[in-house]
Amino acid sequence: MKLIKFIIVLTLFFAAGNYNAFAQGKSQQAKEKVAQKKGQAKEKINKGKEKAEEARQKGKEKAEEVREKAKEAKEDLEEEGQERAEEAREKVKEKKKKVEKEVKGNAYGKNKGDLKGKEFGMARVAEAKNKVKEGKEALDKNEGKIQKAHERIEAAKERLARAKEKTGEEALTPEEIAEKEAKIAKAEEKLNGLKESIKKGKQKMKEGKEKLDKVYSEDQ
Amino acid sequence: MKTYIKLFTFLLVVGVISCTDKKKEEEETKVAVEKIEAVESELDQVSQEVETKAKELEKSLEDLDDI
Repeated sequence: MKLIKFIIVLTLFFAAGNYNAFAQGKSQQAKEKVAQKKGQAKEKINKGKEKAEEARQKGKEKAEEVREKAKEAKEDLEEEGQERAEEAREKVKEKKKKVEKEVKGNAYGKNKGDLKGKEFGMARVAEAKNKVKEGKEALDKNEGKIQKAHERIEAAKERLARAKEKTGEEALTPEEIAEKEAKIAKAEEKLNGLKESIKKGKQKMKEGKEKLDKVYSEDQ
Repeated sequence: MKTYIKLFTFLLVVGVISCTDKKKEEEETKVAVEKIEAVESELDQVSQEVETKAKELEKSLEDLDDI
């Protein structure tokens, strides 16, 4: 009987030991699982942080882009506004000129003081002749510019010739020389254009004066 | 009575002649003003052309200052 008791106690003892070992094994597994889960959680948190950082960066970039676009749009609008203002100013100027011309036309055609008929016509001729005189004066004034322009072009040519002689670092590149020569050629072209216009203008003034002289002399 | 008729006829003739003359004069004036305006228009055009070309030249000359 004592032996049976002893065997039972021994069995129980072993069973308890086994259970402890099993429990310890289980606890270790649990710990590992917890550590693994913690690692995963950390990883997830890190990933989340990275994503948030990315999103913030993207947001910043987009905000920057939007700011840039807004700036460009503002500049475009300002430019457009300026162009429109310029157009409007031009239109007002043109209308003003038109109205002035009309008023002037009326004055020429109808209300020349108390003058009527032939007297009115004669006064109108005198006025036109005065205009021819003023036109001639303006042409003479512009003719004076021709000589000065000629001198300036010659001076520029001399400066360019001197610049071409320079060597080393100060020497001009072929492109620079071509650009400067083109400027001189353009100025010469404009000068010739003005000369032609003045010549034509003088001819027209002369013809105009002759026509005005004939206006009433033909009838008499 | 004859005197009145003569006077009336005379005044009528004078009136008709003066009216015709005035009309003729108005026509002449109109033609003259048209001629004058044509001449002025031509002169304006020429003056404007010269002014434009003078400005263009001035601008080209300013470019020469860089040389």
